[in-house]
Amino acid sequence: MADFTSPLVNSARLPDYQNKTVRLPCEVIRSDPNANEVVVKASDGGQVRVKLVGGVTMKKGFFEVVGNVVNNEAIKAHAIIDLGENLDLSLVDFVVEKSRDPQFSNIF
Amino acid sequence: MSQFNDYYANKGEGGGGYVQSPFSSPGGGARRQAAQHALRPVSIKQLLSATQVHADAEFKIDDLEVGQITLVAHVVEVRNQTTNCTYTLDDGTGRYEARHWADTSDQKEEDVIRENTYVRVMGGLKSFSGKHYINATHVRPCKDSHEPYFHKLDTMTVSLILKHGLPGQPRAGNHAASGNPNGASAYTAQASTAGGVNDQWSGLPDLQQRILRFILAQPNRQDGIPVTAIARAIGGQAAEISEALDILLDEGHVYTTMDDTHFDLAL
Repeated sequence: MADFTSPLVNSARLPDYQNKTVRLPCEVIRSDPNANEVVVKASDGGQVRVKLVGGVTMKKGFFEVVGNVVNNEAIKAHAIIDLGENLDLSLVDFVVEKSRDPQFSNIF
Repeated sequence: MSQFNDYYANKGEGGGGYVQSPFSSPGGGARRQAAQHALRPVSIKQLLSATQVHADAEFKIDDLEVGQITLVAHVVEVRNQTTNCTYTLDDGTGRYEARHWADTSDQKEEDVIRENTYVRVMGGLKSFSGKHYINATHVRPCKDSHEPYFHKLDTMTVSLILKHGLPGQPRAGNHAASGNPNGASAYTAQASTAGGVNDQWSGLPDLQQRILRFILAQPNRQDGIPVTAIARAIGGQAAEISEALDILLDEGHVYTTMDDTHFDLAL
C-alpha cells in the first residue's frame, strides 16, 4: 500500500526529509515569474525556495506547499493550498514542532 | 472562535465534547451509548489504525470505542455522483475517503467543496465490502486557515485527556488499558493514605479544603460531623460554609450521614 504521509515542516526540518513529501506552511516573500520559483518564509522564519510546476501560481499571502524536498532549502511543489491573508506563523510553528513529539506518534 | 462552539455544544458531553464521565457509569450498554454520542477529533493515521472485532462491530481507535469523528483535511479529489459525493482526504498522516450523501445541486457558492482546500468533516466510520470510509454527516470548507492547525492541537489534547484524564484531576491508577479514561471517581477504591487524599483536594478552593481537612481531623466521624461544628471551627459566614458544603456534596467529596446537617468524607 502506498504511503501517503506528508509531515508538517519548517525550514529547519527540511534536511530530515530529503527526497520525501512534506507540507510547508509559509508566506510568500517574493515571486520570480520567469523562473517559476517563489521564495517563501517558513513558520520558523527561515527562507525556502519553492519550485512551481504546471501553471500553478503563488502570488501573495500564506500557503501550504505540499511537495518533494529537493535539498535543504528548496522544495518542488505538487499541490498548493491557499491559506489566505491571515495566518499566525508562530502558532503554526508550535504545531509543526509539537506534532513531532514522540508521545503523539500514534496520531502523526 | 464562535464557529467551533457549534460542534461542541449540544453534544451532550459538557465542556468540549470530550468523552468524560459517562464511562464511569456501570454497564457496557451505557458505555456504548455514551461512545456513540461522543465526537472525537482524530487524524487519518488514527482512522487507518482503527480496529473492528468483526464487520458489524464498533470501531476502536487507541483501544477506545469511537462514535462520531471529526477531521480537518486537504481535499485531494472530489468525485461528485448523483446521490453522493466522495472526497479523498489527506491530512499529512495518510489518505482516507469520505462519502457525503447529500444533494449538492442547490449549494451556495461558499459551501462548494473544491480540490486543494481544507475542509472540516464530521461523521462516523463505516465499512462496506471490506473497505473503510467516513460516512460524513457534515462537510464544510475551512473559512479560517488556522483551523487545520487547531485541529491537530485538538487531536493531541483529546488524546492526552483520554489517556490521563482531565488536567488537574487526580488519578487513582493507570486507566489507559482498562478502557476507563475517567480520572478518580467517587466509586473507585481510593488510596486511603493521607497523601492520596491531599492530592485529590489540591485543586479545590481554600474554604472547601479547610472544611475537608477539618472533617478529616475529627477523631470520631461515625455519625458525621454536624455543620454547626464545622462553622464554629472554620469561622466566616454560615452561608459561605453552607454553599461550600453543597458544592462538596455535588462533587462527591462529602456525603450526608444521619441527616442533612451531618457530613462525612467520601474517601
